[in-house]
Amino acid sequence: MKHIDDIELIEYVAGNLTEPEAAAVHEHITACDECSQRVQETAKLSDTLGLWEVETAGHNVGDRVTAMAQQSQLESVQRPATHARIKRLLPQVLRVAASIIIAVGLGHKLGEYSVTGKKPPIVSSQSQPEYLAALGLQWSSGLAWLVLEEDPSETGGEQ
Amino acid sequence: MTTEGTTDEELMLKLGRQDMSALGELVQRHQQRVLGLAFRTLGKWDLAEDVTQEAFLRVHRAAGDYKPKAKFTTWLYRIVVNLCLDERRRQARGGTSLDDVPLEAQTEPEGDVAEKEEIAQLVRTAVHGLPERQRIALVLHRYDGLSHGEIAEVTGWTVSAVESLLVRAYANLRQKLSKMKYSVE
Repeated sequence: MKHIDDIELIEYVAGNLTEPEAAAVHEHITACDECSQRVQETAKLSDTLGLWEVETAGHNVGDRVTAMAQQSQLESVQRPATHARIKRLLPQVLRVAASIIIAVGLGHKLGEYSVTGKKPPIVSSQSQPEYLAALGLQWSSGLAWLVLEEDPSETGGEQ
Repeated sequence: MTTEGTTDEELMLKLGRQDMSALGELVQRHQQRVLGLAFRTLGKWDLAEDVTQEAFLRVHRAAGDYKPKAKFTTWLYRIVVNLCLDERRRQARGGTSLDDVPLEAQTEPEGDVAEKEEIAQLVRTAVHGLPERQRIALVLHRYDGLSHGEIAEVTGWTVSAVESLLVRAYANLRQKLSKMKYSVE
């Protein structure tokens, strides 16, 4: 004869078994003295444990809970969802920042292949610089090498 | 407006819409059981009250996202059990194990109830002498009326682990109480 499992016995005493399960246990214990004894012992133990009653009536946390919950609700209304707003805007801010970084990076890279950044040598269109005349020289294209380029830092740049 | 006939799950949905009367009703319905569970687990009223208060505040905070998948009480008990375990760990880290703290007396026994109170005191001592997980499983089973399957759901432990904890807890208590004045016949 298969005896009742310990857990089944505990649940039987606690009244947690379904009707067919409880009926099966009942049927077994009417025929098995050993299991009948175990059920009685467990029931006795359960009754004894039941003597430990806890008087909770004098411990009311309801008012405190309601007051604290209302306070936190009030605070969340006064602080109009700053956190939520940051959370909502964060992806957009990140997208803009990423676009700027990519644009700057691309611009820098493309700049390396650009020819516009290289200044062509200044070809003077002056007919005859004064200092050539002061040297007693006549202006001709052969003297182009003598023409001084303007220093942008001195002249205020190309304006 | 009466809330009779309103389920806990419906009250949670109302609370999610910031109806604070629903929180009051939930506290009213469940605080005695939550206090009892916390006190039986922790053995001190101030800690039990703190845990109960925090449990309902968490219920309030979570109400906006609440989805009535499981029974409300299962969810509430899970919060309470986790808070009790946290509290015990916190106490252990602080160097004071709750197991070493003398249990707080409830009421002064009078006349005929003195003997019952004495036995109740022995039971309290025996239950508090159980290892943590056995104690929680036993309290949920014997005092809160949860089946071993429901305890598994509340604690997150496997069903077979809960079965084993309950069997050992009842066996330990039988042994402890038989050593004391009370003997299980």
